[in-house]
Amino acid sequence: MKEAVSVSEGRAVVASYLRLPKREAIEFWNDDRITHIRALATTGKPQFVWDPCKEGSRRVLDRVKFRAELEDRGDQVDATEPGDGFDVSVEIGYGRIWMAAPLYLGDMSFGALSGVPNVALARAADETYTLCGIGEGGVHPDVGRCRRIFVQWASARFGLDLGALRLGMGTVIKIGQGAKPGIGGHLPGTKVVEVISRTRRIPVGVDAISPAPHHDIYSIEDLEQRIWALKEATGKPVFVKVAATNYVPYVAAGVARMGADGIIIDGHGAGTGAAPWVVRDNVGIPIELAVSSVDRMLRREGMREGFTVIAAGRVSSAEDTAKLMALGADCVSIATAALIAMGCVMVHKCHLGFCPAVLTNRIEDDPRKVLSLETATRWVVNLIKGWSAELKLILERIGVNSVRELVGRRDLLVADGVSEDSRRAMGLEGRGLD
Amino acid sequence: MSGEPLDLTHVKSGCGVFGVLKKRGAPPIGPEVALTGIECVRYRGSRFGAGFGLVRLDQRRRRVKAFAASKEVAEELKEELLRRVGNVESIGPEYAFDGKVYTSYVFELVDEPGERQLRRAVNEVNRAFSKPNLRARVYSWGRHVEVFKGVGYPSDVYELYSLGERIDAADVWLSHTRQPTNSPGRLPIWSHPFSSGEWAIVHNGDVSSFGANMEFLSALGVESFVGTDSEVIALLLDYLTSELGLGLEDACRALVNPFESSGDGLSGRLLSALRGSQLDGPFSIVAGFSDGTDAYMVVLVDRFKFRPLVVGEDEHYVYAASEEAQIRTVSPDARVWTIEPGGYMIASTSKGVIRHGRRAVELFTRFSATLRPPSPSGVVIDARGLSYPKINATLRELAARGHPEASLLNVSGQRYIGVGVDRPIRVKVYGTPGNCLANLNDCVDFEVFGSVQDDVADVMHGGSVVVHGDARDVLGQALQGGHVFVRGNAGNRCGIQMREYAHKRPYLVVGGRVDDYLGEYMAGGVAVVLGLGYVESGIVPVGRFVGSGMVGGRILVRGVVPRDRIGYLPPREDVLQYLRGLALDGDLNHETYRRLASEPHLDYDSLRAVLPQDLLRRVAKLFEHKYFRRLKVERVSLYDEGFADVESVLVEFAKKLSIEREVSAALEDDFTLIEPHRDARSVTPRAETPKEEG
Amino acid sequence: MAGEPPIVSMGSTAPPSVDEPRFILDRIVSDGAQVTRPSIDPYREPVETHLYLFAGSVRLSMPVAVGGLAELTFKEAAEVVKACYRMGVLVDLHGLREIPVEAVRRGTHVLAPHDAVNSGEFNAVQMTVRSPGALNEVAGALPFERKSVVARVPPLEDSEFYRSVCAAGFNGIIVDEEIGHRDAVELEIATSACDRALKVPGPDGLPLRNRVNLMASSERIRSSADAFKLIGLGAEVVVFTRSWKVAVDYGPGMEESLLAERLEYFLTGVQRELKLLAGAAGVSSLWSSLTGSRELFRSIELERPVRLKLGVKSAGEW
Repeated sequence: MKEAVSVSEGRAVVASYLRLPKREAIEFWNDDRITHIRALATTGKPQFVWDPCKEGSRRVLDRVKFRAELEDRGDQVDATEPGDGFDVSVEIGYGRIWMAAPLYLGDMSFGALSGVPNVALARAADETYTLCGIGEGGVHPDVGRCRRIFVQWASARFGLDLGALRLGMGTVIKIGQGAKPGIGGHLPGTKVVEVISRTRRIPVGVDAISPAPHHDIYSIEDLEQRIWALKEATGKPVFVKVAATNYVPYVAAGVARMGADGIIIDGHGAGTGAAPWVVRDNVGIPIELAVSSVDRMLRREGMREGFTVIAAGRVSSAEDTAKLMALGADCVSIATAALIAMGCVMVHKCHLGFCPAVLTNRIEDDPRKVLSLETATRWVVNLIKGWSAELKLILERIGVNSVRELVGRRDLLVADGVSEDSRRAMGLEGRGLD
Repeated sequence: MSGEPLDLTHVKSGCGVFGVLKKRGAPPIGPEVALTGIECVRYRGSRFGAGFGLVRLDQRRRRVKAFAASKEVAEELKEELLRRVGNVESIGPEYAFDGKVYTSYVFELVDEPGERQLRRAVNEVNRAFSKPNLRARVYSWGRHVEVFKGVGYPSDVYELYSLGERIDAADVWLSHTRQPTNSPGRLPIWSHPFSSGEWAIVHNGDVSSFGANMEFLSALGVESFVGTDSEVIALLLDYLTSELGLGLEDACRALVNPFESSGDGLSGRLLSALRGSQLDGPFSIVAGFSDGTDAYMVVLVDRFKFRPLVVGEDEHYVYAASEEAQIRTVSPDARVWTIEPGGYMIASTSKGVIRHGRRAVELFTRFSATLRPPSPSGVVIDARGLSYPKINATLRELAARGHPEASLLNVSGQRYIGVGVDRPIRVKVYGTPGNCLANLNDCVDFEVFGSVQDDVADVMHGGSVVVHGDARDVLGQALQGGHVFVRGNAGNRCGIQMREYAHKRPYLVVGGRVDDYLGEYMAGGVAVVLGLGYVESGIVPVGRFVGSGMVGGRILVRGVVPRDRIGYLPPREDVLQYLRGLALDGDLNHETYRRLASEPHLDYDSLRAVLPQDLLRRVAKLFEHKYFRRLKVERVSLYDEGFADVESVLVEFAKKLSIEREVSAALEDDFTLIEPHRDARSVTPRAETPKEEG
Repeated sequence: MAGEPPIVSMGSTAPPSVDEPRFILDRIVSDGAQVTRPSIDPYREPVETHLYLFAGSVRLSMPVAVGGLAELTFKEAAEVVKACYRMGVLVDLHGLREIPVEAVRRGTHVLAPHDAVNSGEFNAVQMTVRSPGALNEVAGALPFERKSVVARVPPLEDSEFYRSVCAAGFNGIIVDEEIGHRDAVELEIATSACDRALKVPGPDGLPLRNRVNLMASSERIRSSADAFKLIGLGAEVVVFTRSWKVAVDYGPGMEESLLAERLEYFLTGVQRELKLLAGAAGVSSLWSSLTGSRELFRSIELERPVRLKLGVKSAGEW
C-alpha cells in the first residue's frame, strides 16, 4: 500500500486501498471481513482455516458450522499453506467447463462498474481459470477479449447480437437478482455517454431502461424457448440467474427441466449498483435457506446430474463457499468480495456516481481518475488464490478430498442456534437448540 | 476448455390448452378432435400430465370420479359418500391398474342428492382423505361435465381411458398438456382439467393471487386444496356461479378483474363482497360449463395478456387454443382472433359466440397471399416433421454456399427458425412458424405466407421479416435494425424496447391493429400502425398504454388516438379526487372542476391547458416520477417534412404485400405522432437524477 | 426527489440477517416473481392500490390511513384532513374531541370518533371497544342511524371476540396496538387472527370477512414495507400514526402548508413503494390479491408457534 495515486497521461491512477471509514451502522461486510479480504488480495495467501468473522453475526449461514470446526482443537490463527493432493477444481454443467476453483465472479455490468473493474474481473477469471459473468451492460471491448466470460442476456438485451453472444463460454439469462427481485433498471440519458452508447448500442443521451421482467418470458415454457433459442444461436451452455424467492425450488426444477445447464441463485442481501431501498431490504430469502431446498428438489426430480447450481449473495469467505457447497451448491458466485478486493469500502453510494474507490464512479469518455488495471487484476487474482488456499485448508480439516465430493454433504454441517424451520429448510441436524 | 457441441436431439418445449364447442345443428364432436387439437402442440407439454374434459347435455346420473391409492381406499371412499349423499353405485376402476400410485374410480349417485349437498360432501371427503397423506381425491362430480386425466402425454391419457371407444361425442371438449410449474409432476391429481360441479377448466399460467383466492374459498368453507392455482380457478367459478348465484358474465368479470381504468370492472359494492376471488398474474383459461340447459365454452385471459390464447370459429364450431396452429390443424380456414387483455369470450351451443372477448369485433380477413401464396422458389425444403435444428442447419449451409433463396414448405409450429443463420439468404415460409422466428437476425430476409406467433424479430439488427398474415404478442422486441412488416394484426407489446444506434434505424409496420403497450420502453426507430380496414370503420387500431415509458423514437398511428390510450396515466379517480379536494379547499373554482370532471380523458396535457401553474405543480405529483417523460402527441401528415423515410418505408411495405392501393389511400390520412418531448421532462425543474444501474 | 422511493446500493443491512430484528415484521419477507410469473413495472404499467370501504361506498386511493392527530393543533389537523382528502386516503381522527369543520365536507375520507362534539355530521364513525367484556355495552350505544361504524379494539387473539364485533353490527374493525389489554398480543398476530376469525361464511353465504373492513394501527408502523406485510396478514388499511410525522419533520409551530405538502409527498412515496413491492411479487391489485395473501410471504427465523399463528411459511419451505 505504499504507492498512493500516480498520474499517467493526465489521469490519476489509483493503485492502493483507502483507509476504512468509520461506520456507525451495523454491516454484514464489517471491518473484519473487509480486512480479511484485503489480506487475501494483497498476499494471495490463506489467512485462517475457520472464519472468525461469523461470530456474533445474525446471518443463518454464520450459525451453521462444520462439525470439524467444533471438534477442531487446532491452531486457528496459524494457518499454513495447504498440502498438495487436495482438489478444488470443479467441472461445470453442460459442455463441461473446467474450473480451477468453484468461484464465479458474478455478473457486474459495465455501467454498474466503471470499466476498469470489469476488465480486471474478466482478466482475473482468465488468469485463475475461473469464470466471470459480465452483467447486462453489453460487452466492454477489453472484456470481450477475455475467454472465460459468460455473456448476459437480460431483459433489455443491451449490446447483444450473435457475435457478442458467441464471445463467451456460455450465456446467462438474467431473470432476477437477489438485491432487487422483480425490479428493473434505469440509467438516465445524461449518463449514456459515448462509451456506454457503443457498448449497449443505444443512442447517446437516451435513457437505458431494463424492463422488470423479460417480456418474452412469462412462464417456465417461455423460458425454455429462450434457453433453446440461445443454444441454437451460440451452441454453448445456458445458465439462468434468479433471485432466491418463495418458490425457488420449483423454479430451479423448472429451469433444469427446460434444458438449462445451470442456475445461479442470488440470495437476499446480495450487492447492487442501485435498488429501491424498500425492495432491497424486504424481498427475497437468504441463499442458505434456498440452496439446500433447490438441491434436494432437483435430486428428487432426478435432475441434479449434469446440472450446475451456483450460489450467490453474501458469499464472504472460503468457509461460506464450503458451507454452501455442503448445502448443495456446485460453485459460488463472489461479487461484493471481489469489489472489496479492488478497494470497495462499502459506502453504499454506487448510484450517486462518486465512488471513493473509483469502482462505480460515473463513466466518462475521458475520466480524470481511474483504477489501475494491473493492480486491480492482481488483487482479484490474489483473492482467488488465497480463497482457494483457504478452501483447501478447510477440505483438509473436514476430510474431503475434492470440492466435488463436498457438494450436498450436509452431514458435515451442524446448525448451531438456528430455528427448527431453518434447520429443516437446510436439511441439517440441530445441536440441542430450539 | 470451451463447450462440447450441443446435443440438440433434446428438442422439447412447454402448458398447452385446447377447447372446442359445437354450435347448434353441427355434427357432434368426437374425442379425437380434442386429441388432435392438443397433440399438435405436444412440445408445449411434458410427460408429466395431460387430460380431457367434456360437457354434454344428455341427462344421466351424476358421476363422482376419484383417484384412490388402492381398491380398499376406494371402498372406504364409497362408504363416506354413502353416508353423505345416499345410495352410491360403484362402477369400479376406470382403467386397469397402470402401475402408478393412483387409479381412477367412478361412482354413480343413485339418490340424486342436491348440488349443494354434494358439493359439501365432496369437500368433506376430500379433506378427510388428504390427511395425513393423500389417499384419495374426488376430481370430477358433475352431471354434464366429466374429466379424464392422468400422467403422460395427451395420447397416453387418451389411450389409458380408451376415450375413442368410451365416448362418442360431446358438446364441448377441453384438452390439456402440462408443463408443471409449481407442483411436482408425478401424480394425476395435478393434471388438468380441474373440475368442480358443472365446471371444468384447463389453464396455462401461474396466478399471483393464489394465496388470496385460497383464503376466499376457505371462507366459503372449502377445506382442502391440492395446491395448484388451476384447481382454485375451477372452485372459484363453481362457487361464484352456484353457491353465490352470480351470473356467468359477472363471474367472468370477478375473476378477470378488468383494470379500473377500463371501466369494465365490477362495482365497488360487488368487489367488496367478492374480494379475494379476483385472479392476478398470468393466466389463460379455457372452461367448459353447463347450466343444465346449455353447454358453454368460456375463455378468460389476464389483464396484461401474459399468456398466449387464440380463439376461432367456423361454420360448426368455436375453438380456443394456445397457438393458432392448433386451430388450423382441425379447421384450416377458421376465422381466428385473439382475446384482448383482461377480456373473456363466452360461447354456447345454442347461442354460438355470445362475447367475442374483444371490444371491437375483429375483421376476419385471410389475406389472399396466405390463401393462395405464390409458388416456392429457390431451394425448396419440405419442413413437415423437420426439427428446427435441422431447418436452421440447412439454411446455414445454403447461405454459406451462396444460395440466394430457400422456401420452407409445410411449416407448422417450429420455433427459432432462422436463429443463428449469419449469412444473407431470402427465406420464404409457407405455413405457421412457431415462436421466436428471426430472433437475432442480422441479414436474412423472411417472407411468411401465413401468420406468425410470439416473439418474432427479437433483437433483430438487420434483414427483414414480411408477414402476410397476423402476428401475436411481443413482435419486434428490442428491434434495432431492418424492417418488420405485418399485413394483418398484431398482439400485445409490439415494438417494445425498439432502439436505434449509429446508422441503424429499425422500422416496424403493422397493416391492421395492435393491442396494448405498443412501443413500450421504445428508445428509437419507427413503429407504424396503419389500421387498414379499422380506421375506416371508426375503430382505433391500437390498445392502451401506447408508448408507456417511451424515451426515444417515433410511433405513428393512422387516425386519432384518444389521449387516455397513450402512456400510462395515474388512475382517473385519484386525479379527480385531488381536483375535488382543490375545489373544496377553494383553490380551484368549481366551474373548472366540473369541466375537468366531465372530460373523458384526464391526462397531463388537458390539465396543463386549464390549471394555473401553482395548482398544476401540486397535481403534477400524481403524474410525475423520476422516470417520467412527457410525450408529445400531434396530428401529422406523412407528407409533412421529416417523414420522408417513413413514407418510403410504407411504399416498400405496400409493394411487398401487394396492397399499394390501400396504403396510398391511407397515406392521405392524418396520423397521430407520439414521441417523447425533446427537453421538458416535467413542468417542475428539479435536480439531476442520480446515476442508477443494476 | 420528493415523493420518490429512496435508492440505495450494495447489499442490505436490514434485519433479521444483519441488523437486530425488533418486531415480527422484521422477520417476514415478501416474494419476488421469478420465471413462473412476471413481475410488473409500476412506473409504466398499472399496479392498482385503490380499494373500497364500507360495502363499496368509499374509494380510497391506497390502503393507508393517517392517524395520531391528537397532538396536532386544530389548524394543523385541518390541513392534514385536507391533504388526506386530496390524496384519497383515510384520516383517522381518533383522540380528537372536536373535529375541524373542514372534515365535515370531506367526510367520506374521515373516520370520526363517535363522541366528538360534531360527530353527528359524519357517515362513518368509530367507537372504542376496550375489551371483549365492554362489547355489549358499546354496541348498545351503536348509532344505528349511521351508515358505518368502526370498532376500535385492542390487539387480541380471540376469534370469538372478532366475530362478536361483527355480529354486533360494526362495519369495520381497527386493531389498535395503543389500546392496552392484559391479553394483548403483537399487532401482527392480532391482525392475522382477526382476518382468519372472519374467514367463515356469513349469514348471506359470503365470507363474513368481506362484510367488514379490517384496519391495523400502531405507532410502530414505520414504513410502506411494514404496511405491505400487515396487509398480507389481513389488514385492508394500515394506519400510520407516528412515522408520517417523522417523515414530514413535524414539530410545533410548523407551517401548515408545508406540513400538507410534505404529507402529500410522503403518501405519494408510500404508494410508490407499495406498488414496487406488489409489482416485484407480480401482483397488480393490492386489495384483492395481497390482502391476507400469506402465501406471498415467508418468515426467517421466526419462532414456529408465532409463524403458525400467522399462517406464513418459513423461507426455504416448499
